[in-house]
Amino acid sequence: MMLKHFKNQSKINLVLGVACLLTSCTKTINLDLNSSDPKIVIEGNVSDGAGPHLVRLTESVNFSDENNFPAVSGAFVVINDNLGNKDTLQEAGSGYYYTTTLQGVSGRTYTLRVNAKGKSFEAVSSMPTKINLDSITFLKSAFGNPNPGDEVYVPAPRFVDPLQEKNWYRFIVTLNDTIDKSIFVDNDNLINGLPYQRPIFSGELFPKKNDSVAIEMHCIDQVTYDYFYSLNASIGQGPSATTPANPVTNIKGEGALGYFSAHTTQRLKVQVK
Amino acid sequence: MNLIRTILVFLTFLIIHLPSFAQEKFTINGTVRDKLSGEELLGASIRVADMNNVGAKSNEYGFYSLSLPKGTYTLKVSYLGYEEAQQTITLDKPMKLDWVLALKGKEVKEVKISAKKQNENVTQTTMGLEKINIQEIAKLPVLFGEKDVLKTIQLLPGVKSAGEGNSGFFVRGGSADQNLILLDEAPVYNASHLLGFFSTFNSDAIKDAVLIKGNSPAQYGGRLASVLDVKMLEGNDKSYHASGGIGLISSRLRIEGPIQKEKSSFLIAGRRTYADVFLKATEQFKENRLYFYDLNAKANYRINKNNRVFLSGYFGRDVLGLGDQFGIDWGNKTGTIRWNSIINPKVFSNTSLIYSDYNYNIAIQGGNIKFNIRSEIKDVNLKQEFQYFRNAKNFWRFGLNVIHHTLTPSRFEGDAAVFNQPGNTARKSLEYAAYANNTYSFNNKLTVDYGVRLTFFTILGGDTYNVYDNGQITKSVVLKEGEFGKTFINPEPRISMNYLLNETSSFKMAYARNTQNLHLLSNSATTSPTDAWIGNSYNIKPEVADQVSAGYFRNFKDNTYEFSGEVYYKDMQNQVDYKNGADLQSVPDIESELLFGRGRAYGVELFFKKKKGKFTGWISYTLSRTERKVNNINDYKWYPAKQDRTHDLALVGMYQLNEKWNIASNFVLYTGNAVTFPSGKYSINGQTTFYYTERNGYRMPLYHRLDLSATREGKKHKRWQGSWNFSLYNAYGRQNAYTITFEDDPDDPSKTRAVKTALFRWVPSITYNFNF
Repeated sequence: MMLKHFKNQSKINLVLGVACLLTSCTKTINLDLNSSDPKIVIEGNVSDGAGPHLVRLTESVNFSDENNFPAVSGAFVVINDNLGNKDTLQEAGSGYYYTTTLQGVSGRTYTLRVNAKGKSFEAVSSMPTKINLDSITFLKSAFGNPNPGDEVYVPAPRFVDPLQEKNWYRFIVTLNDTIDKSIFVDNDNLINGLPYQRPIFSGELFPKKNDSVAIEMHCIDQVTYDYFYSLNASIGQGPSATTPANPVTNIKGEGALGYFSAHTTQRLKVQVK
Repeated sequence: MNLIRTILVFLTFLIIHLPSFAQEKFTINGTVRDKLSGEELLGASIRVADMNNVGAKSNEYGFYSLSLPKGTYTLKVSYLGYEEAQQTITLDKPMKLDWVLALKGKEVKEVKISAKKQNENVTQTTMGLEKINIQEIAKLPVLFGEKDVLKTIQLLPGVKSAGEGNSGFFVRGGSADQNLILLDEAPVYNASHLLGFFSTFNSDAIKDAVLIKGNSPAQYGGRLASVLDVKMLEGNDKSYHASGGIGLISSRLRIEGPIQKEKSSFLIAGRRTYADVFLKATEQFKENRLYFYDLNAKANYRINKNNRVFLSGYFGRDVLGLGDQFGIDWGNKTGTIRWNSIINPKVFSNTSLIYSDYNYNIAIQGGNIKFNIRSEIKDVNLKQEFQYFRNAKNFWRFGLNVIHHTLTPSRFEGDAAVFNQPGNTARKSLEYAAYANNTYSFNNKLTVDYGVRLTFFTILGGDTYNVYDNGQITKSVVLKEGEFGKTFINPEPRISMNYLLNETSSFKMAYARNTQNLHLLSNSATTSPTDAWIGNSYNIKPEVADQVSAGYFRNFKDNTYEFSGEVYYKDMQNQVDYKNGADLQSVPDIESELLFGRGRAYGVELFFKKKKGKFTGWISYTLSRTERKVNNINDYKWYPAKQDRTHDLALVGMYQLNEKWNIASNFVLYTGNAVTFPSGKYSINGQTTFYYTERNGYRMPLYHRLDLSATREGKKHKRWQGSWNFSLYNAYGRQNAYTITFEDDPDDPSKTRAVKTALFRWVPSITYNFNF
């Protein structure tokens, strides 16, 4: 997965790199793109960390509009778990709705229901077992470094993948105070039951010695993995990218966009040595 | 077994013919060869003067056979670019008659070559057939000055380029993997070098290339859209020669000569790019590797006058690397052993044993992590074909073909402590076919070429095959090593008819069914070295295409001008696609990520060519549509395929200024590819994300480009002769869109913007070619 991201990146960079030597160029163009009706976008998260847990409702806009995504207010948002606990979320403004009583616990299944603008949506996600992120190691890298000559490093989270179950992971990388916007998700198809030590190749941030790097690891369920995997694939653009499509979502309801994820969370922060 | 009975009845029907007239007949046979090099000329026409529509053509080994009633005849032999030869014979016994033709010399004034019948395009029966003139290719302007068969065919009607500077091509709505690309009969699974900017065919080693757009005769099979049959040169059997070229990006060298004079010969041609030398000079790409090389080798030996063996091989490799942490290399290997035998003056036999291999290897290393991703496809292929020249009006071809495929899907191979190795099982299968094809001239006007190919594909044991419904396993089939799995049987009838309206015009019609048992899983618009081939399975059925076409062919002014107009309609079943958001890297079984659908393509192709004189060239125009309909994509509605281009125009002109200088130019213009652009945007985790409505509902901008070239022939010094080729790709520097991407505007984060990337403005190149 991360490898794929990395591979596409390298290929495009190389094609463009070679072509650059032969006078390629990029420029901003005006395209007359179709407009579409506003669609409701749901970003729902329940974690095993301290609450409140947030659900955000916004709307889509046309491509030519400003990046100002209208918040949806006055919605009815409720999350249930499979033990019969129910929490009706309170509105906090800017499209955010927060839980007051709900606990995120591994092994429980959560159901999100949203009624907004006369439409109703439902999504289900299960919180997987928590896997302990043991440490972060760094590998010296030569990939995609924008400033050749600098010595840059690639972080690799280390933990042991359990043998008995299927696992899916999401990593959020922060360099000093900058969050890496790339999406990093992975599964244990090839490493089931083994120590995990795959490096996270980023096309964006290049840690150097003495920088501080944090990795937030989420254990996610398959539907969440599928969402982020396909979101990432649709972001990939260029000659070697797949035909873009809306990501595969677990939200049911007319024209729904976004995801609902119940996941564990753990953060480690270390200095590059 | 009803099917088999039907086929047998059909075959029997094929063999029964109108009784031949009782007159005593004799057979003339022999070969047609180049005077200087001894190279066989393929497809040379042997005609009987004053007898319309009676004659023969040399086959793919330069052999011909012609049976005529007792009498006196004048035979004329012609071949494009060569002087015509003629001879009057008295036929009262079987005879052997070998021909040698001389290349048209410069001293021969073009105007004088007239009164010749070069109307093959009108008289040949196979439709949608394009013969590529290798001499002509050398004059056309090309990117980086590297002449290329695959780029030249993109200037022909019905053939579309896969992208800027790309050697990949699409034929009549087919995808890139639906072209059967053969090099001396061996299938080439990835015909591109350097991410598609070069093809694997070094034109120095090529003798002949023929493209058939979907209506191929029964001896070809295995791909839906087209056959590109490339034949390597045999090597000069009279004297030693070397030739080559030195260019900015690559250099070539070819050596050929006799092993035993006029009995055996060899040819070795090599090529290497040195773009990496320039890369090393730049700070940014210093540690990178980027080059390819290839080697063609061939030898042949005449055992006696009726038997000959050929040995040919190709080996090519691309290497690309970033520092010592990432490397990928890929390439093809092919080898062919052939034995030609003239069993009797009327029966020609060819036996081929063919090996072909394509593999890639990605190596990644960093700290204590080191792993490879490998994939390979390997074929062993046996062909037996008989050609029976029954009489001047009746030609048979029948044969058998067995291919054993070994497909190793892409898998990680690494440190067991890091990667659990999921077995890396290779899948084996057997593809076999029997065919018969007959070309029969009913009278002076009507010639019919018809046949059937019966194709079998058997899954061989050694792996587990899962059956999926909507991505969920419903059944597993475990096949033990040595066990036979499911067999797919497909009869493929083919028929082409040519009706000569008069000496200069004809009307043709054709129908063909083609099936395809190997499928390329490609998720991107251009081909990539890591695209995987997969065989039929318990989910994947053979792809089937039915194509009907009709055309009008007309020559003007003593065959100086040639015109053709063809229409076609093609229906395609069992097309393979990925589902949206398919996980291609780590999913245990790629088959769970596949979707199946239909395709249709139709269009009109117009072609007008000036073949003689100081000025030569052509106009080719295609109006077409290509659509797909796949379950779970675009609400199961028809949508334009990526390669759907409404208009496609090419103008090619070559002008012989004087004995030294030759100038050439081509202009191409086509509708942009069908693409998926966003129709809205929204935010996920604070990131702008795009919203898509319909699949391929937008178009890339119109593409057009003009290329120029000039060739200067040097003086001949004893044996040495050199020539300079100057070319300019994209002469007016149009910034054609290679990609259009969407992103937040870095200068104003409150906005999003569309960014166009263009490659290759004004690419000049100089090549020095020599031979001695």
